[in-house]
Parts: sequence; structure tokens; C-alpha cells
Amino acid sequence: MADQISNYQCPACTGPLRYDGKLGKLQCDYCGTSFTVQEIEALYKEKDEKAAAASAQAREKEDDGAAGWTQGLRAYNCPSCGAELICDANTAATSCPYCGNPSIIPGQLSEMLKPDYVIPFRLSKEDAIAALKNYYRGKVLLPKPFTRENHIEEIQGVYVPFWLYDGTADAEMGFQATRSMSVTTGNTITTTTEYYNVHRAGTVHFEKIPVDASSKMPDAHMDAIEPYDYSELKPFSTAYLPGFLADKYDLGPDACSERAETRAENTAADLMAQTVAGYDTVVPTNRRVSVRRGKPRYALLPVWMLSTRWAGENYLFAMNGQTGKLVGDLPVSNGRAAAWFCGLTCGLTALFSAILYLL
Amino acid sequence: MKKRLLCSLMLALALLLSLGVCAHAEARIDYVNDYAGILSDSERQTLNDKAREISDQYNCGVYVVIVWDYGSYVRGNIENFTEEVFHSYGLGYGASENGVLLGLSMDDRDYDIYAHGDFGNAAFTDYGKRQVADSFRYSFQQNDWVSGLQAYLENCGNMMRSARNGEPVDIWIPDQAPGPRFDPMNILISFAVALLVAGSSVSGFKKQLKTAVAQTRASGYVPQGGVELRVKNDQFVNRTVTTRAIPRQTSPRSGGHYGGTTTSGSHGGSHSSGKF
Repeated sequence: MADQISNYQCPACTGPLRYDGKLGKLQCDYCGTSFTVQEIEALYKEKDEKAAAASAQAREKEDDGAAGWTQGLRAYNCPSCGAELICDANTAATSCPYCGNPSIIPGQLSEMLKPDYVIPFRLSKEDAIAALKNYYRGKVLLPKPFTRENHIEEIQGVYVPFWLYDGTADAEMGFQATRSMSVTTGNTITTTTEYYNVHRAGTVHFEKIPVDASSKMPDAHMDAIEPYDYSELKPFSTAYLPGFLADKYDLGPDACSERAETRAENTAADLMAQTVAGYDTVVPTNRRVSVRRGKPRYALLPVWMLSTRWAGENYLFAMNGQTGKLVGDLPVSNGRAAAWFCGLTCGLTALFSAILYLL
Repeated sequence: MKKRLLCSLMLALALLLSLGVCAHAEARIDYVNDYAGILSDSERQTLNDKAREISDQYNCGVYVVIVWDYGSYVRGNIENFTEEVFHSYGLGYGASENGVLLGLSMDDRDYDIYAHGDFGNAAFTDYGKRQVADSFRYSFQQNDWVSGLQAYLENCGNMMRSARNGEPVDIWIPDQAPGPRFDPMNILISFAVALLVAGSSVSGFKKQLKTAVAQTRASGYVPQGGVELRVKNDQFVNRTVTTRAIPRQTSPRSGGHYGGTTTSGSHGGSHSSGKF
């Protein structure tokens, strides 16, 4: 069972290695020596393959109904301290709760389950904490005690599984458009209105629309932290994972495709409508959009998940681990909202009245 | 009635002669002159004394000329009549001939108040003249000439006193002097607009707190050159032509609810006239 899990140790001092987003390398916790992803891949290739094979064997046993894999949980032994790690069935990278060493379960991300790409973390935990504090600023309806009293309960860097969909949308749309012109002669205004039937058809290509493939992740948060800079997509390697959590996908490409297709349909319709120009009014009369999906690619994308608790409620935030875009819902102070509403109403009434009085 | 008509006719003849022949003879008339015979001698005398007293007090003549029909004296309207009387008789006090003259034409029940001179025009603003007219109109409608004329004299005194104190009786008149105006409707409109703006602002503030929103578009994932437009067909269907008249801009009636009119006289005076 121990073979299913591996951790990357410093070749110099055997200390645990973690991926450092700022360095773009794996760095030893103890001696500070850093190694490239390629160096660690070469060093641990054989060990990772053995771990993956052990995982495959274990999965076969699970399929045969053997014990050890129960109720969506799996048990591993930490290669550093030997402690038993109970993980989610989809966990691919974690940290030992006893010794804190990062552990990888290569079998979760190998063969059919191996991601095509990964975008490594670029921003650190400190960056995420600073971004959250900054996020509170300038929010006039945020209750003051929230900023003062809430504390970050949990912060985790997670490689979230995403499907990246390519596709083509064929759109055909009809519009009724009008163009008006008015001429004033003497005491009369003559308005000439021309009516047109407008027809547009075209094809829109899409590349790598991301849809998160983990049921544990809130979809709105994952959508809202887009976009990622795909120029930094790298071929997948488990060497990017130490120090972060990672899950394999639990929603297949077919289960997630609808979200990507809906977005593609809406965008194709928008783009067709944008080509109808030079009219005073444009009203869509019919819309037919069909999306052809290409082969989806599987990628792990970096997300910092932060959770806070205040007044008995949990607040979850997500930050794009590459760009730093942070999203999350904050509580609303109803008292402040009412005060702002009344204050603005009174102030603006006085202002507008004064303007009208002087006009 | 016949006697009154005869008397009126004779006085009118006298006035006509004096207007036509002695226009520049500096002839003077009383402060209160009744050529229509609607006042008794004592009534006229009492009113005349009162008018003199007020006139002397403020150094601005207050006059009344009552005729049966102003058309018998001048061509034009009652305003021409009052102007003609005022200037032909050299009425008014001081170099700028400060004074105010009430002309009554009994036949058509027309009146005109004519103010003249620097102080006369300053004291008897358009609004002030209308106030004065309001003070006597009801009494005249009841044929109570003495009460009406007393009210006229009294209000003339009030107007001149206010002007002497530096605050002539006046208000902003919409159709003549655009400027600041208090209108409750403006407050209602301002309140409604303020509600909308405040509502949308607070809604915007709330949106700042809810940023985890699912995406509905994917425009960021369309590569360069990723849009191919195959059909671009704009088909003309029909044309409609509508014609409408431009609504004329109507200005508010001069005089508003007072029912009279105000015009500038050719001699630098001002009028307020109407019916009683």
C-alpha cells in the first residue's frame, strides 16, 4: 500500500521538496536547494511509475470488491513518517497531517487519468492572504466588524481539475431592423422609416473554454476567477504538485460539456448580432446555434481557496493562483445599506432640487 | 340718469377741449377728477384731499380721472387715454414727473393704472399695480365707487411707503423675468430621480460584495480570426413615411390670474389695465 504514494525529497539532505511558484522550481524546506521540474521528474520517474502501478493494482482490487477502499475514502501510508493518511478517493496530492510533508499519489494522475496540462502556481499563500485583505477595501456595505473580527480559517493551494473544451459553433440568426430619418420642413417633421430583414450566418471557433471537473468546487467561483493565461500551460508533471492539494476529476467531459456549450452558443449569437450595424433598432427574430465539440483536454489549474467564518457563517473565496484574481461573496450590512440609501436620496433630492430651482 | 349723462357730456367736452387746445398749457387738474358724475362733490373732495396728502407725503402724485367713455377723448385704448391725460396736464411730481394715474371709463367698465417717473415706476411695479387693481376691483364691481377709490388711495400709499423703504412691492413674474422659481413639482421629480439613483448606487455597492458569478459567455476563448461570417444579407422590406406638425411653443399669458395686461407706455411709463 505504501508504494502508491510518493514524496519528493531533496537529493542533498532528504528534506521535503515543495514547488515554489515564484522560483518556478522545487525547493528544499531545510537546506533551500532548488531543483528544476525536469531534474526531479528524471530522479523520481521510476518511483512514480511503481507508485502508479501499485495504484492500478489497488483499483483492480477495489473493482473486485476487495477491502481497503471504502465509502469513497482511501488509506495510504506517509512515506516519511509512516502515519496512515485517509484521503478522498479523488485526492492526488496532499500533505501528511502528522509530519507536514507533501505527498503525491501518482496513480491518481497517470495513464487515462493523466492531465494533459498544468498551469503551475505563480502566487504564494502570502499573496493570497494579502489579496483577501485588499479585497475587503472600498466595500462600503461590508459590515465593519467583519473586517475586524473574521479570521482566515483555512487556506489551501489546490490544483483544480478542469476540462478545456475546443469547439465550433454554427450560428444562424435573423433580425428585424429599422433605419429612420427625419426632415423638418416649415412646421412639419417628416419621418421616413425603412424596414429590413437581416440574416446572418457564420461559424465561431473556440479554444480551451475551461469548466471545472470537480464536484467539490463551487462552479461560480471557478468561473469568476477566469481567465488563465494559457501561454503558461505546461505538459503535466507531478513535480508541480508538492506543497499543494490536487484532486483528480470526478465529473467527466460529457457531464461538464453543457456549461461550455451554453457559453459558446451565447457568444456566437452575440458575435453574429454585433455584425448588424448601421440601424437604429435591431430586434432578433430567430436564433439557431449548434455547437460541435472537439476533443476536451484535461488540465490542472492553480487556485487558492480561502475560507473565513463570521457570525456563524462560512465565507469562501477563490483566487486564481496564476493571475491573482480573487472572488467571493461577502456579507451585506443592511443598516449601512439603508443609511446609504436614505443619505443618497436626501442629498440627491436637495441637489437636484437646487439645480432645478436655479434653471 | 339723463342729468348724469348730460353732465358727463359737458365735462367730457371740457376735457376734450383742454386736451386738444391746451395740451401744452401746463393746465392742472385735481387729484381726483370725476367727469362721469359717479361721486358726490363731498365724496370727491374728501378723496381729493386724501390723494393730495398722500402725494405730498411721498412727493409722487396720485391721481384719478373718471370719464364716461375714454373713446370720446382719444383714439386708441384706455392706456392712450391715461398717458394723454397725465402728460397733457403735466401731472407728476419733480423733474421726472413721478406719479400714478387711475383712469376709469364707465361705459365699458375699463380701468388703467398708469405709473410714471423714476420713483413712480419703481414704486408701482407690475405686480404692485395689479395688487392695487385687486384692491378696488371688487368694490367697483359692486358699484361702490367711494370704497374702491379709498382702497386705491390707501394701496398707493402702501406701495410708495414700501418703495421709500427700499423694498418696492414686487414678485417674480414668470412671463416677464425668467429666474429661480420654487415649484413643489420640482421636489417631487428630484425625489423620484434621487430614489432611482440611490437605489442603483446601493445595488452597485451590493454587487461589489457578490463577485462569485457564473460565466455565461466565452468571448475570451475565441482565437484571432475565429469568426467566419458566411451569410450577410440585409433585405429591404418596406418604407413608411409619417408627418407630424411641430407643436407651437405657447408663452404664458401676460397678466396671469390678475386678468389685466401690462404694457410699456410710449412716454416711459407703465400700465396695468383691465375690466371691473
